[in-house]
Amino acid sequence: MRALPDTIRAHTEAVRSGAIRLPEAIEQYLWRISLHNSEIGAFLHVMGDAARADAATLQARLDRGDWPGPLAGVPVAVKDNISVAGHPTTAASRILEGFIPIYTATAVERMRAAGAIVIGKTNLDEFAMGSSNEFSAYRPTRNPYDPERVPGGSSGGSAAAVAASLSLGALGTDTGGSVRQPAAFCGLVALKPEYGAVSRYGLLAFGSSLDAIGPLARTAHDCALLFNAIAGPDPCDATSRAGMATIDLASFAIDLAGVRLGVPSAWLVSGVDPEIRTLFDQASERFRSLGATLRPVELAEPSWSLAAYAILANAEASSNLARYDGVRYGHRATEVERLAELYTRSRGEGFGPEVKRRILLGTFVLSAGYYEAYYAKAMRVRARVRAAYDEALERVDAILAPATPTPAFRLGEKLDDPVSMYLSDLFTVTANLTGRPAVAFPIGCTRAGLPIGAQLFGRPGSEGFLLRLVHRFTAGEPLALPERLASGERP
Amino acid sequence: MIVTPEAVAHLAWLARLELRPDEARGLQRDLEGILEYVRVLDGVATDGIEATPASDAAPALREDRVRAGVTQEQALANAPERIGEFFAVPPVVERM
Repeated sequence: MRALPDTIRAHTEAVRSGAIRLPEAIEQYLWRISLHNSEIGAFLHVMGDAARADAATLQARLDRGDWPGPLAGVPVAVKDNISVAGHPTTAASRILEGFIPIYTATAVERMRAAGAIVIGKTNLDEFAMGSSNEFSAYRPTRNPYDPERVPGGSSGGSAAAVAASLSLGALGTDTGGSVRQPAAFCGLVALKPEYGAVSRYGLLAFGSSLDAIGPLARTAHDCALLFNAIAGPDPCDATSRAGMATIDLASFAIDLAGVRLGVPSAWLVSGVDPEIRTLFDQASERFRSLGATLRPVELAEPSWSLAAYAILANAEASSNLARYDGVRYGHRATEVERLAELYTRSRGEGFGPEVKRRILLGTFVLSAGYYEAYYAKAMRVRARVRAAYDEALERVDAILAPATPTPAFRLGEKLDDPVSMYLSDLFTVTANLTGRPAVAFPIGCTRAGLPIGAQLFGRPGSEGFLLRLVHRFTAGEPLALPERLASGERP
Repeated sequence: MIVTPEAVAHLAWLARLELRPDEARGLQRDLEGILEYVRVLDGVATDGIEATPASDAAPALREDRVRAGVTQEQALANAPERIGEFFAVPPVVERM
């Protein structure tokens, strides 16, 4: 069998022309997963039988001339904090070991309705709390470009699955940068949509005022296809919004002449890896050479955003995670005599170290005597962050910034220092505090071959515009598959 | 900010979280580190600034119509322990 197409767009064209048949294509992907997942750890649960059945059903429809939709036969991976009925959904936590959801997330339903095949559930930091996937209670995920390094997090499994070509697209979730930072570490394009653009029904909540479900793929065009499939209001999620425009893929090309990009130059002064700084300057130059004008803009200090985020996200997490109590589902401690003990022991046994850290921090900032100094203060800082952001975007069309301060780091490097791990999200949290859309995309590799990403931040509803800018910047081309994984075709 | 062992124990109780002694010691140190980091906010002027909601939009309300929900069996499907049609838990009220 010929090599598999490496983008959703090429895959669906090959499906349409009959150049590939879905049952064989899905076997190829399952074969690649069986070959590489033991090393990479991208998937916690592979849905082989379901994917085979879907492939057969979809191929039968295609053979009848019935086109399933824009994601016809596309193998997609779903982060394991997003429910798929009948399949384990653990959020990479022991507290949900063995849990089988009774309904499917709207975003997943919608991808399937567009023809996608869910091939498995991907690894993450427990309950999406982390930036390296090392806080998975089951196993860490490794970066396909260098297995000694992390893929980023918390959607590290989704990013690794796409980067290693174990699926063509993936859903992740982004509370403080969790689709964008792993996309940057793994050479992908990822979209954090506007707050409310994508239904969160079926998502295991972390920080409800910040959480967004977003796609990861190899190209901007592929991200747009996934976004169009999942976006839109949903009666099951009161925070999902009507009136969000879908992306017009017929006119996806864009002329950058006259496009004004703002660069928060103060962000670049300290703490940015020199190689990232160089690649970022080259990316800025490329945008300029394509016709865009670049000018400095002022945003809130990233450290303010990160500190406000640490307070708000964890306050919300401490409330959201109160539901895991060992009564209705999930892990339950044994030999317990009293109800209070059932709660404390089930939770003590079921949650891992980072989740406990965040629950305690969140409980602290919400507790009597500290609420005003921490939680209320952070809410007011959030208002300032958003005001500065919206003001900057009155004078420019989008903001260009690095995605991460460092390239993918080594496993274990930041594990014992929570603050240094949190700093991985330094440049991404702003989009969650403001609720505005943001895209991460590859701008090159370090000398050691590690992918580096930048971000574009936009106005409300600018998902399509941001992805079109990335499409132009990358000339529609994906980053090359890591050489060490390029082989692995089924004999 | 100093976080005392008693404060950690109190927070753990509020959060209904049992901690091993070594965990509690580590968390005490971690909380101090994180609270030290967030002190950067002390320098941010916020007088007269209103806290902002997550979204500018009013929540969309769905039509008030009866639709099929979760069945009792589905709701109980993941129960760690059940008695008939109930979730089972240890005694809540002590016998006098």
